[in-house]
Amino acid sequence: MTDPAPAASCPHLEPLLALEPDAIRMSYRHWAELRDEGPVVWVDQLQCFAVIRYEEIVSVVRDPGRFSSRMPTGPKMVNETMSRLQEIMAESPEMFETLSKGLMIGSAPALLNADPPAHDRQRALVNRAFSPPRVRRMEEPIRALANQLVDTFVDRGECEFVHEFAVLLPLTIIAGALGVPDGDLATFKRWSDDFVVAIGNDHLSKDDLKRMLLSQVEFFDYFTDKIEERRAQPQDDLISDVVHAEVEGEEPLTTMEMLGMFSQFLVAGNETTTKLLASTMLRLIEDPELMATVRADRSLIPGLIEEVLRLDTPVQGLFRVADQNCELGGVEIPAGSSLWVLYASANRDDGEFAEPDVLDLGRANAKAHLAFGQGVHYCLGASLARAEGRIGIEILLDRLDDITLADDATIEYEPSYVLHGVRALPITFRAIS
Amino acid sequence: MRIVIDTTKCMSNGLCESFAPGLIEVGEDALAHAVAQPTTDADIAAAREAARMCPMTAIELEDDT
Repeated sequence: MTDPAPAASCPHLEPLLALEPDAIRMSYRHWAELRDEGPVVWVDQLQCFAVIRYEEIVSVVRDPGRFSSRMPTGPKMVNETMSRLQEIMAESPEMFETLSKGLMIGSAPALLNADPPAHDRQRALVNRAFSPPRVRRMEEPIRALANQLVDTFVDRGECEFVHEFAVLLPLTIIAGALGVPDGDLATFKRWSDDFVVAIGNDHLSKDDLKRMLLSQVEFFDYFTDKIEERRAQPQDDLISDVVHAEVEGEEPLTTMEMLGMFSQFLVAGNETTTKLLASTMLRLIEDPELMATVRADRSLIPGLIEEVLRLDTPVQGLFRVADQNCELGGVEIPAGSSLWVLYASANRDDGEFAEPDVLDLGRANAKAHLAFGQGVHYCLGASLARAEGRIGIEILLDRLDDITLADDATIEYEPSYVLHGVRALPITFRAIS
Repeated sequence: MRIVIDTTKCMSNGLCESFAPGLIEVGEDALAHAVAQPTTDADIAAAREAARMCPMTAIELEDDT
């Protein structure tokens, strides 16, 4: 056992936590520096232990009895956001009433922030909706939508790839599954943006936070109505499945649990796959040989998607809370400590992946990456994300040739040390007739 | 070697069928099933990887002996 962790700040992460553009773009460099320190490192700035090697991360996330998911975005975000929201709520009684309602949604743990046995009961009720056979039936609609999206910009010879394709593909699919009509898509996207704004970003204004909570309230009202509608009149959509989900011996879901789940479907169904599609496109553009290889053999696309998930992990890491004293990677972890399980770091751990920084289309254990997590919280939508990524890239390669970055393009990454992806990707191309 | 799946643990995330196609499949009941048993070395390696990576550790590999 090594000495207790020193209470000094962690210099390796300073640029990343300050959201310096190069640091968030090349976060892997900072994880590599951390890996040199040892398997578990105290990060004073975030008041948590970073867990950075594959083996320890798997052991933590596969043990939900000892490591709770109740604070998945970390103690710093929760504490700072809460104290600033209390300031906002103190501004006026109206603000207090409105925002308390917004906070209520988060008060009933659901899926991502729930622990067994509640988590397992919720998961059993929704698994079927995202199971591989269901996703296989969604492939044709995904293909049709991808083609429709390309139709909207193909004649221009240029587009902003993130907002004209990578956002709209997963957004429209999850909105459709949740029974949100096309006319409400823009509102749906705004909610999704507002929900994630505080994840991995400690530099938000009061207005940002206010907007976040007001969006929660709008979302709450919108889906409370939808739940009541589907309760009375089920339709062929995910909301109806969830509202009417029954597993023998399990209590039905409460409205609060359903709202928590839907807000997670919204965010998880959008943000992550958008980043996957954009990162894949950027890799293809930056590596013409890779682009040519994949164009010539489309059967390589699934392997490409896995490698992008591994190298450009959209959710770089989430948090757990140790519920008892334990030892991890030779470091003593006192009960109550937060652990940052860094999936993006595990994905470049040479103990698991040979030549981890190389994109290898033939990598035998490519799918062993932790981009979707592991254990009971393994991403519910993994099959859907894989299908959207694969089909999206197939259609783009079918319809666009000579894809390059636009001349004046500058590539900026989302200001977050938890989420990883480009904000915009202006491209030019030639339409394939 | 025999693949044995504890369907009470299965979460139907489908990782198994992507690691071991032709051996394990998630059915319409949203549960993983062994649809064939491994015979070749490649099959055995695929089944081992599926068992190692199953998030619910629902896949057991039993020796034939």
